[in-house]
Amino acid sequence: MSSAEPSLATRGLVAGYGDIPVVRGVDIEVRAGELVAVVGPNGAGKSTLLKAILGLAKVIEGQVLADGADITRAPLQKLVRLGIGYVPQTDDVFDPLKVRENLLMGGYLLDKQTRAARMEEVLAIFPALRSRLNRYVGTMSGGERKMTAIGRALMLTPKVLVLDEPTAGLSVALTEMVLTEQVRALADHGHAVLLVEQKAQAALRLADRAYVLVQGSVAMAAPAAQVLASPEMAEVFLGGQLKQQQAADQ
Amino acid sequence: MSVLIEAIGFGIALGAVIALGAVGFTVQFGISNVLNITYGALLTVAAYLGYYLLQLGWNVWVALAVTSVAMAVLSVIFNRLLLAPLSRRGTSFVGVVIVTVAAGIILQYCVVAVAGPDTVSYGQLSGSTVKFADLVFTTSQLIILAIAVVLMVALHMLLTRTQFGRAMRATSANPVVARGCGIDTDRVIDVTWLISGALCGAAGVALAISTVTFDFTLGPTFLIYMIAAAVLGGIGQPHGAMLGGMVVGVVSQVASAYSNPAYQDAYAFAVLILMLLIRPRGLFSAGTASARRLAG
Ligand SMILES: Nc1ncnc2c1ncn2[C@@H]1O[C@H](COP(=O)(O)OP(=O)(O)OP(=O)(O)O)[C@@H](O)[C@H]1O
Ligand SMILES: [Mg+2]
Repeated sequence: MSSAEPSLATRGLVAGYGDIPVVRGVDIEVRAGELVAVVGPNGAGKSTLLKAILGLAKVIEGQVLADGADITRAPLQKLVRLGIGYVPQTDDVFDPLKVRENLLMGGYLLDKQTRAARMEEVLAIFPALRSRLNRYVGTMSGGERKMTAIGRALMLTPKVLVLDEPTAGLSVALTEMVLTEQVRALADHGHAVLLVEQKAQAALRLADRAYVLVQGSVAMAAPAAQVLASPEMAEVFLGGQLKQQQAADQ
Repeated sequence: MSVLIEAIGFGIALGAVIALGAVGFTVQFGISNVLNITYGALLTVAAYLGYYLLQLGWNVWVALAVTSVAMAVLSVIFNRLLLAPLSRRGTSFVGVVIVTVAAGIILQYCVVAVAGPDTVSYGQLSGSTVKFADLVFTTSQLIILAIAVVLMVALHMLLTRTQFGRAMRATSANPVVARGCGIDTDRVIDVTWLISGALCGAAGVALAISTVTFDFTLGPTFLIYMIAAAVLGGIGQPHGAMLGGMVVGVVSQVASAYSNPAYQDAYAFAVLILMLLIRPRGLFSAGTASARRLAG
């Protein structure tokens, strides 16, 4: 299963918006069959890291590699064709299009028959969407929109799936379902999955490896279970939150 | 009674011309999210282009088709050279609107420089009249109406039934995710300007036919009707723009038949405001990015 080269990797990636770096020299990698989580406090640069990988934020230095090939600054529509799928944290759907049309757009690169067949498979994953196929996504709830967004990205059966907080706005039950039955299952089926998740505990329980990102740098890179158990992790999350809480109380 | 019927007939004929332009405008605004005021001056350019082709002895409908193609190409160039670079540099929505106003004024002076300030005419177009009940139309009015209907239906089918049309709407709604689906958004934008430019070309020639005489102010004068029709129909909806064009045309003609014709615009726009109060998003709410921007 594991090939010599990681499916997706960054080497010394420095990136941001304008000339000020938000991501400061990050090395991460994801291999086929692996679920890799990136966790960290708000504003740590997690979304920016993903955007830089996908050509949506400015890469100042360093490299992005897919199967060993340099894809630094490649436009998103090229990356899709290399089998890299992406679900952004926000603005992840086509509001004025129906659910059906969102999924069909996800399969834009497929031929008509494959597209229809694949849509059936995706609907089997998110059965709740089936009765809403003709609803405009703009009129749906946060959770329904997320399902549409993930379903859309799954239409192409991407080799590498990059997910920025796929469970934001989902109920506890649905979060559990999406993470275990979808995200984890994708990795188990041989996809490489790079997951940014606010619900760090849930993500770390399922992930193989994890990176803790703090102020644009990797503070810790280890097997997920180890990160979950580490005191640094508690410091980054609970500590940070406690400090904020104390500051607010004073 | 016959005054009313006659006015409705004029209104439908005028409405078809407005609709033709409005369909182009609504697609351009709805998909590329640019409120392009230069469209008015481009209508004038098309009218003059048709005029020169007629001077060469061309058939008026061939001239309309050729003008349409020429304007399609011009429209893509206009977007690539001016508007696309602006939005790439992050110019605000309003900033781009101002640039299109400025470009329209400059283009209008260019038309005066080339064609002069005098009124010109396509001349009397031969053709008989056709009667429907009490409505009388000239053949050229009917041909324009047919062109408008066919193009509107074709566009509606393109946008809602084809994968490329969906890609156009998807690009308008969310360019990043559209690229994430593998859509070549630059090509989609080019095609959008190609289509709306072709409609602008057809509408410019149709305007010149229906107004009989015109000068360099032709396009901007009618642009406001077309924008009204597009807004009334619900931005981004070709069938809405079509219906909006008819409403604007008929209301203004009926109003001018029963009152001082000088007030016809006031009546037409009063009806527009009234209808928007009743249906804030237009007759057919589109839900495109630009429609939401308009609706606030
Ligand atoms: N479009 C932008 N332009 C300029 N600065 C930005 C932009 N987006 C984010 N930033 C800045 O980059 C930093 C990191 O933001 P980022 O969205 O990557 O954080 P994050 O780790 O994903 O946070 P969260 O957990 O809240 O999603 C923040 O300080 C933010 O202010
Ligand atoms: Mg984020």
